[in-house]
Amino acid sequence: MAASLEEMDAGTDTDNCEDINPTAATRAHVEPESTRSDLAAELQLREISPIKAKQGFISPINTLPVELLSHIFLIGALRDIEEFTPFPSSSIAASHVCRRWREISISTPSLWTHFRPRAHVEWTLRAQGLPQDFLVPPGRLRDCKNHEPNLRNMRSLRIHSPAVQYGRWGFDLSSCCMSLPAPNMKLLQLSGDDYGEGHGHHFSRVKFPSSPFRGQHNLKEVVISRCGFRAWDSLIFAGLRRLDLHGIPDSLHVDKLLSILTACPTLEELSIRECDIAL
Amino acid sequence: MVNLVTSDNESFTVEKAVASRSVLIKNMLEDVGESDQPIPLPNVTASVLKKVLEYCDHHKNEPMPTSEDLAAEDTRKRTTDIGEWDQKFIQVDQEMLFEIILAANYLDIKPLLDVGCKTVANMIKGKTPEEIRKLFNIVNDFTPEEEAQIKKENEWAEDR
Repeated sequence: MAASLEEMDAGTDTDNCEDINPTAATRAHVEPESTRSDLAAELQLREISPIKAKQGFISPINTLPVELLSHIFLIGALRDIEEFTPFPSSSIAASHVCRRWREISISTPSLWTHFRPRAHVEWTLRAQGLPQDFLVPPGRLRDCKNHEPNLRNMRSLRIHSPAVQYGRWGFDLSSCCMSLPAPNMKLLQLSGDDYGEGHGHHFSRVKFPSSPFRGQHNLKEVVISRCGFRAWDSLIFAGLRRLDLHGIPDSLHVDKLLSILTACPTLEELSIRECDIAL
Repeated sequence: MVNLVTSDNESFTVEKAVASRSVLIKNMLEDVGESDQPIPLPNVTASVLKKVLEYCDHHKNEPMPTSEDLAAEDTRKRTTDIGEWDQKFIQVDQEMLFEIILAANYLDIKPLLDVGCKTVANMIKGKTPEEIRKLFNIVNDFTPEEEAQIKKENEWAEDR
């Protein structure tokens, strides 16, 4: 920095100027001073910027304390889980922005509860053993068998079942992700597809085990969307606070619905849309 | 009526129902009882308090969230459920947005804090780290070693 300023001084030295016109002399004096102070300020800024950057105080968002930033990141992480994103993309993006965000995101275990078969182990380790939000995308059901500890530590299970031709079974959940005890399990979401094609109508269809989670779960919310299962008397429909059924291809008999409601005395939210309710 | 004094020494006289949307002020009023004494708010400027009070006034007749509501929300947090009025209310410049969030946190106004945090989360949604840096004027201060680790993590994501 000193060398630069000296070089600039040498190149604009007014002592050697033969022009005695005061205006020109003054201009000659003022302009280098002005340039000099601009340059000095710029150089000073360049020196300060990395320090400020290191402290993370340049951006107004970094005036937020750690707990508020991690709360914002958590909103993104939970939305990723709800929206079946293939990996914890919001948490990963936050951890790649700057050092402060990375420290906050990596040291917030609740940002990393998103789990799916074949997820990268490093992301899973960041959850530090917290109950996990287990996602099973189409075609990944078999992979669940390799993740027994994660299945036992689920707090939510979201399954996206592929559509199959009518009359066939899709995902068989009796031998994999619903077959182990999951005492932290609070939310089950089954989503599927429903479309017509040349060879007939295709539905998503799953098969439940006779004793889901071997009877050891704490299910409070069940959301089933466009997925058949023919198991209205399953033990998952008991003690719920929220039940959301949407576009179920199998008829739901009124007597079955009434028995579900009787088994859920603390139900707070019931939503039934595009379902065939038979009398 | 309640008299609130901001950090820049401006006074606001508001209905008790409006001021009590803030759990901090509500508790102060309960502790002090009936009093004409102004309540100092050393962490909030007049411009921010004006905006916060606009929010409190609009929501003054709504029930206060209970601890059960807050616990239930943790398991089913949705980012798209910002009400129409709240969305318009929170359309402010970034500096004001973060000041509102800080004030809501300090004054303990949980619904306003949620509106602010959800708004920021929605701004971040779907953006790459570089886009986030540009949006919030954040400097990339990673060391080359950290950059290498981040590159590796991006490769894990591409493997999916």
